[in-house]
Amino acid sequence: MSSFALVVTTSPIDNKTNTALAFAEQLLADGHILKGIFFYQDGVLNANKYVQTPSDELNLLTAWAEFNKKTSTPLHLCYTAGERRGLTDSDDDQFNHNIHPAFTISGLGELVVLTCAASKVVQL
Amino acid sequence: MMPDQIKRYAIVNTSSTFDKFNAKEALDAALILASYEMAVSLFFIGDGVYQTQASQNPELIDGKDFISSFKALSFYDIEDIYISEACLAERQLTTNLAFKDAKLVNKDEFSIFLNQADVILTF
Repeated sequence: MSSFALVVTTSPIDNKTNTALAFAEQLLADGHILKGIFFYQDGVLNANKYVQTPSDELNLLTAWAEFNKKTSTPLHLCYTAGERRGLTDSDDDQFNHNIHPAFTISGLGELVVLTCAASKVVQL
Repeated sequence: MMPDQIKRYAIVNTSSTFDKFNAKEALDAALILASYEMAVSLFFIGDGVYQTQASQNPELIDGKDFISSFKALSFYDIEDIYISEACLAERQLTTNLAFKDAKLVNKDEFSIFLNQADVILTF
């Protein structure tokens, strides 16, 4: 049994992101510890609650949220990378808070803490 | 919260300087890791070697010149910088590099140094 940290850098329209979720689920099914998942680069787009998915495809946002609820695995979002891609937690005029509550707003410092605490780091 | 142990991180750059935002986000990650006193080394392979060139003109595309900050990496204690010599040569790039100190390495050396890392992040 190992402790893992995952780094997701692919967007919700990249099939690799489905693999990341499946990998995370399998880790827990196999009895490993998953310290958390860090979303960076285009991976932050997974947190946008307005992303729509055709009804016959897997809605990754719903799937990540369910995974978070079911397993309490922290989903850390790099806010700087998010802001560049239109994510905001502001409710001021002209802004709409569009980050799904399943995600924790973090910074790259959390990447350090998370990857340091895990015995294995996998980037997908 | 400071991590309670030091790990060795390899930041592997495989994208050219202004291909998406990979180069800048790799540099951001490297600097944060270093500021948490982690051991960080940089690797440049494939199109990533384009980032190593001293002569670049980011202003032509209104790009930010983050390459010039490579010279300051030693202030962050990032001193282990490895560049694939073969990938430079394949692209007919110069050895006029954007770093104060970087090592041109062959494939075997590249693998050996990369294998010393505890965590590998690829951009």
